[in-house]
Amino acid sequence: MIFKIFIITFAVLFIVRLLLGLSQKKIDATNFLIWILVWGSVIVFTIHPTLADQVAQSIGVARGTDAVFFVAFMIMFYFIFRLYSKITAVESDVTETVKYIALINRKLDRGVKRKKK
Amino acid sequence: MKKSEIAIVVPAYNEAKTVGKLIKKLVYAGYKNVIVVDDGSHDQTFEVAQNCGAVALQLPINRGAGGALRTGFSEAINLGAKIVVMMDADLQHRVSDIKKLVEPIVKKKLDIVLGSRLLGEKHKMPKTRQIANITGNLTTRLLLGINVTDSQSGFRAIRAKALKKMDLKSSRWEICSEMVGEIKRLNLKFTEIPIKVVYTTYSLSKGQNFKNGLKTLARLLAIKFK
Ligand SMILES: Nc1nc2c(ncn2[C@@H]2O[C@H](COP(=O)(O)OP(=O)(O)O)[C@@H](O)[C@H]2O)c(=O)[nH]1
Ligand SMILES: [Mg+2]
Repeated sequence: MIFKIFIITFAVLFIVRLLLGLSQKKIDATNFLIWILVWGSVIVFTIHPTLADQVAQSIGVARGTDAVFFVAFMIMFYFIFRLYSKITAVESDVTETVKYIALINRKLDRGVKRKKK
Repeated sequence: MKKSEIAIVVPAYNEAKTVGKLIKKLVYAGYKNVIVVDDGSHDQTFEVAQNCGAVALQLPINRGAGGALRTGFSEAINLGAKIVVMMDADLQHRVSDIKKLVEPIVKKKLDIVLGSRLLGEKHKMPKTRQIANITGNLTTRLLLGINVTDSQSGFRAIRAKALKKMDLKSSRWEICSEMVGEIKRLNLKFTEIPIKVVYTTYSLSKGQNFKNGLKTLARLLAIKFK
């Protein structure tokens, strides 16, 4: 029971953070929906564990907890993948910016020297 | 081809100890257009390069050999070079080999000449580097569909016109393979020639190792499947 309360509090805290995030425009609508679904179902399945079993049976997995873990893993992999792609994109943007700074600095440098002469 | 139409691009990360000597050797050999790209070093690489009379560029933060090289390539093209030679700052590559790299571009009208550590005297390369290279070559072959003996070599000469056409994006070591891939995509005329590389404990303490190799592989996959 204590464990259940712990999980639910945790999920509620996350949802509050999501709502705050949305109102402060720190996250976009799609992400908001995905995470609300995730934490919402965490709450639902904690309160009604048998519901998970029903869902599991309907998609052909033996136990409810297995199905929950399976979905959780899929979601995690999805976000890890997205994080990885975003970081890669940011990395390459940083390189382009750094390259640009170096070339501009060199140009300015040349300009200064020419003026001195 | 006049030596004044050749630009030497040298990516340098913490190479203050060697880069000055390299520039002097290059200038002495008649290559006056030396472009050193300091890759966010923590030592005096940039100052040394400037004082020794090279065109010195500085990346404010370390971006890896790919970022440094691409910056140097842009500058070389800005300066109107006809042929661009890339080489390491750690004195591993011999200035005397530059002529051999440039010659086929002029005489045989090739677009790019790759220096290969594996043509000629194989045994000179340490085991760890050999393994890195075999893996690198195999993946370049599988992913990019082109067969070379040394896909990871950092000693190459490229015709500026061909370089301009290349669409290079990578920041780190995968630039070596990316260039090879561009040869295939753009149907560039190329050859490989044997070069001698000096391996000192100084040079072996840096550069491509197994961990980096795995990262390079991941980035190559990203290039392939993006
Ligand atoms: N290790 C390392 N080398 C860099 C980096 N950026 C530019 N370089 C230069 O890339 C060249 C090749 O690097 P090196 O460590 O000698 O690699 P190796 O010769 O392939 O073993 C040298 O001139 C380095 O100074 C970087 O971020 N890391
Ligand atoms: Mg080296």
